[in-house]
Amino acid sequence: MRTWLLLLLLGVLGFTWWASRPEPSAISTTQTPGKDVQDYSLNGLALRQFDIQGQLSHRLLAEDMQHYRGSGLTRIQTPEYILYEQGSPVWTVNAARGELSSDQTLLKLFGKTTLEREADDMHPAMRLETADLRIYPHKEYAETDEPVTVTSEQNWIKSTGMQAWFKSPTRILFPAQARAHYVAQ
Amino acid sequence: LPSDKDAPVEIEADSADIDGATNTTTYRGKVRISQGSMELKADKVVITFKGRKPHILTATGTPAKFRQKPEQDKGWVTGQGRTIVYRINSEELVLTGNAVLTQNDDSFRSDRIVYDRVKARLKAGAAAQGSERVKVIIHPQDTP
Repeated sequence: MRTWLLLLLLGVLGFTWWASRPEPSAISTTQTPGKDVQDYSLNGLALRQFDIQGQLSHRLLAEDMQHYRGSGLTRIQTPEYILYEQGSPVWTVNAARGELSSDQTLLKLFGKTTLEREADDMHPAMRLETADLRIYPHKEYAETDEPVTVTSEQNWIKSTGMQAWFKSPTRILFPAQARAHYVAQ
Repeated sequence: LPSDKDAPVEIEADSADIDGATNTTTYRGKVRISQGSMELKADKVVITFKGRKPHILTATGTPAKFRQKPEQDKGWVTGQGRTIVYRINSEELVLTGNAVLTQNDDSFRSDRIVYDRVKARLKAGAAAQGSERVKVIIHPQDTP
């Protein structure tokens, strides 16, 4: 009889332990260590930045934007980045996707990326096509390791990689395999 | 060739540098330039723009070299110098620094040579430093 009673007691204990065990699936949905959680998102982003004199210096537009709590990254769809400088042509940069670092010092643009500068008295309009561009807004500087094609009227330059200093007077360095075509007359 | 000056300028180099401050583009490293029959090789070439068109090419090398066909049925004209300045519209090439210009077997050496590509005519001497030394070697034509 006592054996039977002992077995009954073990069974009740076992059942009680099993029933009180937290559900494993509940753990994974609430918190997975290391997963960067999106904390907010925006549609139709329009970010404007002004210089010390109150002049508009940068604009960042995007269709959609998601911000992530863990990394502080901001992911952007179809970003358009516009650079203004008093008395100088405007630069407009477009890309498929972008990523703004948490401290906003680095804007990475992915996929096909175009940079366009308006014409001015001295220079014709210029268009640069590349991919995976890294822009440092506070330095008004950009660089890529990807192939680049620059067109300006009927002239063009092709190269691998580029470094561009947007602030006037603009300077653009093509570090490798430069080829150019100029229409003389 | 007479048509050279209307041909596009094609360039290959290790690197290129567009400088808005000086309105120039500088090509560096094994620079090769061609325009029609004209070919130029140099270590560095600076293109100065006038308005929006390429205006002057300044090539430097050890030495910078060029060659060109004045006419379809004529021999190549070749030249070299530490510097070659090529004015795209005026068809003039100025070679300085141990400049040598050669056509067929005739050669001219001077500190400065100005070569007019259209008229295939040259003016030697009157160097930047004022030395007027010119050395001319002309091989008489073989009389039949």
